[in-house]
Amino acid sequence: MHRFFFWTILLIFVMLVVPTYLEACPACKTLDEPIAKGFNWSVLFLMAMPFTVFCLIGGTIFLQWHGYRLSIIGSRLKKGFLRPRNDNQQRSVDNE
Amino acid sequence: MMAQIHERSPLSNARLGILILLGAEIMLFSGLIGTFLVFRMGNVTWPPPSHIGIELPRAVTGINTVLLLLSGYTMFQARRAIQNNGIKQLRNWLLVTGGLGILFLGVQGSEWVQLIRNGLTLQSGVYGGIFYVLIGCHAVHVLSAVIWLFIVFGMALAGRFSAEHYIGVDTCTIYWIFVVALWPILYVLVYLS
Repeated sequence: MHRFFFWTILLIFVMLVVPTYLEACPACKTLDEPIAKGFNWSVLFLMAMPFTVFCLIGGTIFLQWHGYRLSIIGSRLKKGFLRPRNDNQQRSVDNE
Repeated sequence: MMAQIHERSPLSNARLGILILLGAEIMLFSGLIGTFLVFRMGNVTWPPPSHIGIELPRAVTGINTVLLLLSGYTMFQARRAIQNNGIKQLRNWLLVTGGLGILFLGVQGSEWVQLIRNGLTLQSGVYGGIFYVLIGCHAVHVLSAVIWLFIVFGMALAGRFSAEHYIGVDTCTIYWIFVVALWPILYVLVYLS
């Protein structure tokens, strides 16, 4: 247990101290200032996109699987863009 | 039993497939936008001094943007029409959407001809290179969406869709909305920044 706390505190210490010497683009230090800025923004943008895609696809699947079963959200989804496959089929399945 | 499981599935394979395709497309355009950001922010003056006399047609492209956004609305109406079993309305809305897409491509093409005449080519430097690659990539996507749309239109003429079965219209709508929603981002980045 003590060892766990030791490594955790060490890790937090390293995470707090080391990033002051790091940048998003390590190779940019040798470049001119505007180009370094461009690379940094580009790296940050590209870093964010996989999460955006994951949230988009994951969120849609989550809403499809769970959202449509909830009464309020489900009724909105049926009217809106994320409507489940088929209302009539769904009703017949629900009635069964 | 299998049929029952299939009916209970709220997310069809086609929808899942189009979502994965969109994920790949978003990553492709993210890479291109990332490249644009490097060049745009790496230059103090934009366009670079070598292209200082070349003006992008902002106003015409702005009108073109409105046309494309309008096509997103008409596509949405097409989907709504088939949900209400309106086969004729579906055909009409698909035709209008396809027409708006072709009009968008036509205006883009005429702009490109004008820009090439003014000296902005793919080889003329970073500015021309990133412009044609980014905007051209989107234009190719609009073209493929238009082709897809007319295939769906052909299927609608053949009576392949109904209020119960319209997954072809559905996937085409999702792709079209993606292409439409992407364009204002590119317009602001490339034309207005």
